[in-house]
Amino acid sequence: MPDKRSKLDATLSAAVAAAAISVGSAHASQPKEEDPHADLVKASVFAETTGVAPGATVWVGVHFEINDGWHTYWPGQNDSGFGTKIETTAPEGFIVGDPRWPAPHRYLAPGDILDHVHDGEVTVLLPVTAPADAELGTSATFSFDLSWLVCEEVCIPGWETVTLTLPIVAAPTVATGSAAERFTIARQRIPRPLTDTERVSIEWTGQTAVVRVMDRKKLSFYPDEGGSTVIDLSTSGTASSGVLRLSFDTPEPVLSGVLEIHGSGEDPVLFAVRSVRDTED
Amino acid sequence: MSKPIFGSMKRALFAATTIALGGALIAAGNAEPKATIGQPAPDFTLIDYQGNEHTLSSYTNQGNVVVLEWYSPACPFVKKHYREDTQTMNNLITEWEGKPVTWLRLNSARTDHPYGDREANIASFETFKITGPVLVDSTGKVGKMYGAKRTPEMYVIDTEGTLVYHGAIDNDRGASAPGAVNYVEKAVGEVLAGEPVSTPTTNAYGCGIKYQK
Repeated sequence: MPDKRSKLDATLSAAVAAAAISVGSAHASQPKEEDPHADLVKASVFAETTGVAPGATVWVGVHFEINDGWHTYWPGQNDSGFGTKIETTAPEGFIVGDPRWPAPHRYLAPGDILDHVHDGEVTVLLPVTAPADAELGTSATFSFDLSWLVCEEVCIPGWETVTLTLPIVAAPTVATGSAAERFTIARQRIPRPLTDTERVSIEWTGQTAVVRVMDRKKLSFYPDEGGSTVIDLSTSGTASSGVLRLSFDTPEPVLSGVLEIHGSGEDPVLFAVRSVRDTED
Repeated sequence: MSKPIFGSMKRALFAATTIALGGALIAAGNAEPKATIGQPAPDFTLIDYQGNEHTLSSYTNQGNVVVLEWYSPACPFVKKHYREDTQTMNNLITEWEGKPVTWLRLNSARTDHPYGDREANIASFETFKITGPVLVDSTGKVGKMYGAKRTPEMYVIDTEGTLVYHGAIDNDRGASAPGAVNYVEKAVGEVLAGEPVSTPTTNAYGCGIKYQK
């Protein structure tokens, strides 16, 4: 956890700071002050259904409400900040799958600093599978340790643990209200595997991947942590010509990330893309 | 050897004009000097918060290895290296006392941003126990020349003036704890030992530098 003492130190005068050196560990044992930035990001968790049946999988949403004007970082490639982290603790036998992150958007700052960020509200979906022998009538409690960096003019790290208790029931029903709405909104920006290969093509020319989309003009690419670093992503990562040219300076480049085909009156389409240069060429 | 004063002034003026034009041409051709590993590090002269002037080449010419640290007084990633229990940067500086190593911090934030604010910077030196110079680059010229994007972002320049390391201070990209491997300690150690730098680039992490808009 980030140390609060640095904040405290900022208020100390030189004399007090000098005294603090000599007290050392006494200083460290002081209680943490209240986090004055606690409301910049509000986190919550909810399930899509009223419970889970033995052996079944349900979707859980970890929801972040980010203060107006502030942004958090998508856990892909960014020039600054750090991607929001979710660490899950589940009861024995329950399996929590990888988080599905809604696609971010580009945030370009002076000095060519490009980040992929979330603002407003974002819901991350995680699949939760109950063991086949889960006992009806009991419940399972999950905890999600969340940590993030939230920035506006300045950057402030934040963290919170949220918990969810899922009843084990034979026939759970779908939750309604704001939770259901949040799942719908999240799914609109969660990329799906690229199957539409007639419309989208990826070809390699040397160390450059050329991504073409048939019928739309504006494209963006958000590289994830599994991909190589794209050269000059601040300019090459988005195009309005229907063609993206993404170059790499590694001999065996991996193109990996999210391709957004922006809508013009239509909904945007998001694909998870991965392509490795065919060295046989 | 008495050159007419006028003549030398003319020549000086001519030289200045040529340099200015040359600069303009270079800018138009999008070929501003850029820091590149294995190439001469772009030279610069900046004034620190105490008003003293610092020129990169004057340090390397004296036979010093130079470490550049892009600095911000309030970024969480910088703070994690200046806490009482970490002191990553100051410990390295102490470790190299008596060795030919010069550590320069640079702040490329605009002055109307909290990270570039003069008073906030000066106040931070006491809090963070910074005794060395912090150079003011509020126009962002040097930062952009080096392609610095975040704080902390680190560069190591050898005594030949060659850029030999660019990247992160260490291998923990979070804002909580320093990493187990300190790339700058390793790079400077290798340079001092007359060895090539084994890891010349890493991906830096930190807060985006708040450049002039």
